[in-house]
Amino acid sequence: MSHLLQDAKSQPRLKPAFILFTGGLIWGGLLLAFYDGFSFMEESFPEISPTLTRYLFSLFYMSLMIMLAFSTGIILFASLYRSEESKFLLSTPTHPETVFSYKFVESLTFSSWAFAFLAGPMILGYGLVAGAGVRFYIAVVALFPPYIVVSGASAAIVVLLLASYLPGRRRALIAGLVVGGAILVAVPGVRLLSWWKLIDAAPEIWFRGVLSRLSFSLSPWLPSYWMTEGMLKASEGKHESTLFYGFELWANALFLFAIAYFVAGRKYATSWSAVQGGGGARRYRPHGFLDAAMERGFVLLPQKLRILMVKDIKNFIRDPVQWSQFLIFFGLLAIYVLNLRNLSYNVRSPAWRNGVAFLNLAATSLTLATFTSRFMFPLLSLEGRQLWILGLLPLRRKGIVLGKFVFALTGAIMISESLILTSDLMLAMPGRMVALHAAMVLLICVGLSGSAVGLGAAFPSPRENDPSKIVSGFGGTLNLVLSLCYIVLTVGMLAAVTFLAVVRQPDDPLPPILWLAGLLAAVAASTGVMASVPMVLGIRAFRRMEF
Amino acid sequence: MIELEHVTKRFGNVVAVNDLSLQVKGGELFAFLGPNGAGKTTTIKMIAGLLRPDSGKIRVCGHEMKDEAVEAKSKIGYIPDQPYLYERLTGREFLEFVGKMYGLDLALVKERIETLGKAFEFKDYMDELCGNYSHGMRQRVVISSALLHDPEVIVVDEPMVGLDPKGARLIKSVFREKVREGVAVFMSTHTLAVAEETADRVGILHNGRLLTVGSVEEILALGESPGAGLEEAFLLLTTGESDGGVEPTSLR
Repeated sequence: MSHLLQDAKSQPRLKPAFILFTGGLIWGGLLLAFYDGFSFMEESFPEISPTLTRYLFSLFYMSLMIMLAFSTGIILFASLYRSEESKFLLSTPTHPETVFSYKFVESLTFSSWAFAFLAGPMILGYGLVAGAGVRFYIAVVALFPPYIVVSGASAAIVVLLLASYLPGRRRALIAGLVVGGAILVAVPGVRLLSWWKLIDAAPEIWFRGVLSRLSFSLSPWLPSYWMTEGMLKASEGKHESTLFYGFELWANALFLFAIAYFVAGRKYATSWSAVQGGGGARRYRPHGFLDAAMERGFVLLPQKLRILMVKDIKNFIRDPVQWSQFLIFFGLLAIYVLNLRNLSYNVRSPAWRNGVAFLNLAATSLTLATFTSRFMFPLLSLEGRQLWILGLLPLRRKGIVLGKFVFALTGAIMISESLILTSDLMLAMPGRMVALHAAMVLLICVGLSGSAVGLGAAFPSPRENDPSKIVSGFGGTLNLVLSLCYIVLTVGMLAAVTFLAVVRQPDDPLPPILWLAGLLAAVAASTGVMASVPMVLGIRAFRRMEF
Repeated sequence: MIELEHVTKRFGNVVAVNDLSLQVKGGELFAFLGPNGAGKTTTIKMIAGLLRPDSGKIRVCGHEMKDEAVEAKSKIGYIPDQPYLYERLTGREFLEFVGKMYGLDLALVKERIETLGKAFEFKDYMDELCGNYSHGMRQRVVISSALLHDPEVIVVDEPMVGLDPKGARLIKSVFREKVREGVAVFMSTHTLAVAEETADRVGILHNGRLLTVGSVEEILALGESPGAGLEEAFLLLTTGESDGGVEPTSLR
């Protein structure tokens, strides 16, 4: 901790000031949005507002629980079994469960701070609307730590057991976790979708149907229910009930941590050894499919660029932690897009379809912004201790950064264009709108890839192996904020054109060609700035970089 | 082949290399000696183009590293002290990657990988991921990658670390063979016996300054007792009051 403080002191003042400013801006914006949302619910639907709030928080805390468990599990696995520090600590006369406890706290802190940061405005917004007193906030602060420990300790037990019994099957292990997670999300999602398409039924019946399909989140066996109830009872002044749920959370948190501690004492040291020995025997066939596909598929690119791309792709697909998160990112969007016809959106009015297509584009762009920030920003940093290899090659450094840009752009285009074209086809959109959306997404891919790769080169962290730690630094935060602003700007321009077209001709809301040309010119101009400025800065910084 | 002219490199307030001037010709093995922190690795990284000098000039095969980095680097084979490889590429894939980036034809790369794999005895694990290799195995792959493109200059930082006696012997003979072919080898090492055995000339660096340069015989002559090895001359030149002069007895 003292080193962290020293580090913070040694940083230029601009960096913490910028982080505080943008963090405060996001936090304030969220608080305003939640306050308005809860006020609207309270004023417009006073009878059902408490029920809706209960569902909202129970779903929120349940999602949080699942995401926290996955996030803590992945970070903890890397921290326990792959870090140099764990190797060193296990060589000292320290009990394995002590090393585990230290790594558990570290992983949990790392995986939960962002959730706490983002949950804050929602809880505060609700508290302000409900007129809750100080005791409500004290209760939330007291309930949150055991809640995250319940998720984290459950994940820790699973990680320790899987590493003990399946040490050499890391890929299968992570694939299993991803599939399990997808099923966990997909089953209630499909249940909900099957009802959602009956939106034309009487509103009350439809609404009740939707709630009944979400009632699984109110199961009293779920920790998310205890958290929700504990918090809501505190806002109602029922402090005995809050204490009850609080004790339930604390008791379960301590019990689960005690089990994790016990399992770590028995299994951590032996599983560490087994994991180091696992997976070593696999042999890879030289000149496989990927090499051949890249040779033929990207024949227009310079050869050295192709070679760099093949290397990056191999590194990516052989790292289950990376591709599993990627699958979660886009898998859910793909499931949604492929189900658009099940929702009968394609037979609705042109204005409705335009709106849905626009929202799909906005969702894809936002996911893409998160994708480029999470996967493309750390590309150069992840070369890490191997940077000497690139530094040594008879290749201009500009070429290396451009190579990463082409790699990022290719990946981004392949994913987002597939999603948008599928979405537009499913919605039976007219050709002009399909072309417009495809062009918009192409430009957005260029802007986001340029920003992520450029700023990744300008603010590298080559000593850090963990991509999630790399992206949470100054450069990563700056890139994420800029990417979100850029999406708001470009998608906002598209929203304006789409809206004006609907106002102009509600039955046939096709924007005139001139409007589209103007829109694309404006988006292209902002894309030019978004991609070129970070790339120029990144290339300059990478040229000066020493290895 | 390698020319350093008044090269200085600072890290903050610390002068790592101070006004260093040196020349290593083709067909010569130059051993660079010095205690820990003397500036050996910094010098080697500057020759390889990984670090940039604050002042002075570095030329490799007539190409100045500052202005003609690509041309200079195409002549160099560099072997670092820590053999960090791409953990998720196999040894063969890594070597092919390096070979192709140096512009070699794939058929030639494959042929050389086979030859080097046989010579350095890593053929059996060439198709496994580098992440599973031991230090010695990595070192063999890195040495092969440095030799793959037939460099005119080889720059080596502590080549014997992690190698078993057989591997170390092989490396020494490979370097001597390369020197016979006209290659310039610039090697930093702590293993004085290796320097004594293989080097044509020796340079001793201390606190960033070049204390002396000469043939092995000339350096040996600096020692006080006749017949004593490089160790005595090295300690005599590099142990001063500023080092603290820790005597072995004080550790008991």
